[in-house]
Amino acid sequence: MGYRILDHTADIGVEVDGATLRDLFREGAAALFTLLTDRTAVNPARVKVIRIDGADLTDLWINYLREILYLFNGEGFLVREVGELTFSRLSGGTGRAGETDRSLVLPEPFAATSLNGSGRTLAAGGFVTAGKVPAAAPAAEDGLAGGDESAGGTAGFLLTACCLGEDYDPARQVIKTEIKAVTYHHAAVRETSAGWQGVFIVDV
Amino acid sequence: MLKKLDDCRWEVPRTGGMKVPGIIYSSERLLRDMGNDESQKQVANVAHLPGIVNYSLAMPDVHWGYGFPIGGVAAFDAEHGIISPGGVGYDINCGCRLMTTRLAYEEIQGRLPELVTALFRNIPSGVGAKGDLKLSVKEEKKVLEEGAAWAVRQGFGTAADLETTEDGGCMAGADPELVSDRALERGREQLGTLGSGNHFLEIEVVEEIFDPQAAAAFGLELNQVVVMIHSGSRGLGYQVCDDYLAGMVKHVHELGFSLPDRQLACAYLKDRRGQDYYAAMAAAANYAWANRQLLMHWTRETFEKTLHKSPREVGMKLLYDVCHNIAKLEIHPVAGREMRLCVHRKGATRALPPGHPAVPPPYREVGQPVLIPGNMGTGSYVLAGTQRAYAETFASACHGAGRVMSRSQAMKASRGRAIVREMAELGVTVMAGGRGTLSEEIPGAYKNLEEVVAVVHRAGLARKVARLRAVGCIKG
Repeated sequence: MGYRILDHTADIGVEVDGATLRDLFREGAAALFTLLTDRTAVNPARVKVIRIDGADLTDLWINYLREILYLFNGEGFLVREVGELTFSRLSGGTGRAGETDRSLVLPEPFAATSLNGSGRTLAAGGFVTAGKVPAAAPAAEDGLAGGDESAGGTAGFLLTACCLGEDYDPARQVIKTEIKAVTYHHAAVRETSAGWQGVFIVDV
Repeated sequence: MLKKLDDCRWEVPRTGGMKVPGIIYSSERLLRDMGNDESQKQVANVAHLPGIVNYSLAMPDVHWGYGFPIGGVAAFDAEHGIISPGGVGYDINCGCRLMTTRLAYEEIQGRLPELVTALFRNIPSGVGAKGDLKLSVKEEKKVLEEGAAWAVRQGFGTAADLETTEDGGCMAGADPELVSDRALERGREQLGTLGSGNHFLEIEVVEEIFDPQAAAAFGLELNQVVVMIHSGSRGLGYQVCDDYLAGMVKHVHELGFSLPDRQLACAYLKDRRGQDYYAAMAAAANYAWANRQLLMHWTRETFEKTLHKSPREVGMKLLYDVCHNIAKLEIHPVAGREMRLCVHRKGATRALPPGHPAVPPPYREVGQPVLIPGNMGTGSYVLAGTQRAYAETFASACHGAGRVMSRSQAMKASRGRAIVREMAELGVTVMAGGRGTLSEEIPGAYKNLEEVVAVVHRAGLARKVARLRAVGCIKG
């Protein structure tokens, strides 16, 4: 578990490790929001549920981080951490061979059954959550915009994530760096001897 | 892998799937500074994309970007070529605006702290800054259609400002309906804000004139106070890029070729996906022009109020506004005939030659003004476009100094230093929203601006007109 900042002249690169894919995705969100703010000053007061798809694991990884960044850039919501994560495969087209086929044998996260995001009680990773879970996260609809035309089967994975945090309050929280976007440049998710590793580069 | 062509140009030879060779405008020193930077490889990667014409080009300030290098120029055949959001960048129509005044340095010297403080107060800057304008979505869409003209219509500036703005401050083909709700939402509150990072507003003084004829045409004279604004399309532009890039990444396999980097995702310009991006990008470009027009208007007001002078006495006039992150449909000569091209300039400035019809009439004899901002405190350059750039680089020149230090290196290098005081010792009054921004933007973090501009001048891509020294600066 953990992450390192990679040197990149114009932007900031981050290499993230996780024992499991779920850890990796949680740690990725933590790394992103650590670049942005001091997370210890963010209370896990509310939950926002996001739903993302991706053609392969790397695409899913970047789309997930993009969506989490949008919570701040678009909605002014700071994330302290990600609680429950549910991965699932899209039925129908399995996308391209290679990466996607390999992930058929992915361990734990994909053992999860089909997606059933809304209206559930959320276990909040050790935090007491207040507020309510949106019945249908508005972000989710946008996140899948364009998905209709890809029903032919390139979107291989779905992910639902519960993001714990609160609305940004300039009186209590500091924004360290404006992050314009999470890019696809050098993006990667790979299995290592110790678990999983992911890389992303943000444009600042 | 680089082949030296002459003192200013190095070729990246055509290998593998490259459709054309690459050319990097540089010097021995700048190449050495570049070190292991990945930008050479990125120049080669861009050369793989369908429809690329002549060369994949890099300006002397080139540095490692994402996908396309920053400082990259590439032109694609409008009929059979691609358009790529990554070839424009997230900050669509990030650019510079330079205003001249009738003030001499001595008239503001003693008032600088006051002026800088007033500017810092009147011009919203910093991460997540909100503007004072409360726009309805309907009004925002008008901004996206009309660009700087919208701002002028609302009373922020005059029609004369539009005459010296690239494209009159409005890019044709913009369609606000192709901009997502998310982008509109982000843009609604940020219109009229400077931004953070390397964006700035700087009070500068004309320190040296190299080309008296062009300087006279541009209205520049020694010791004159001028103001440079560097800003872009804010969250709206970032979101447009993000939206369309994700869509293209998802469908990239439909193009029938493989990309060396996902960030190079693109669409054929003739396809719906390419057309839609172009129309959304143009809308974001218009937003940026309206934004810089607003920032200029408030700068004018601030100067007048703070110095207790009339608009006529301050005489703040727009010299030029030019963008350096854009893809544009332009006509250029290729192998002896005119061709319609989609020219991508990612961290590169358009530099039209004397006589070109798109150069504003007062400048037509000397060429388009090319505005090259330095980083914090180093000042800026004004250059003029040339015939050579028209022939070699699709009328493009550099856009700034270009980073050499990563942001974390710069943070380390500035640890324990009082940056504001150091800048004051250099004669620059600085106000910034956060210490982080100041530390990341220390002068040592960038290539030597003198050297970058010297290469551009020597290579004949643009000729030096004037050097501007920074005396006051606000940053986000």
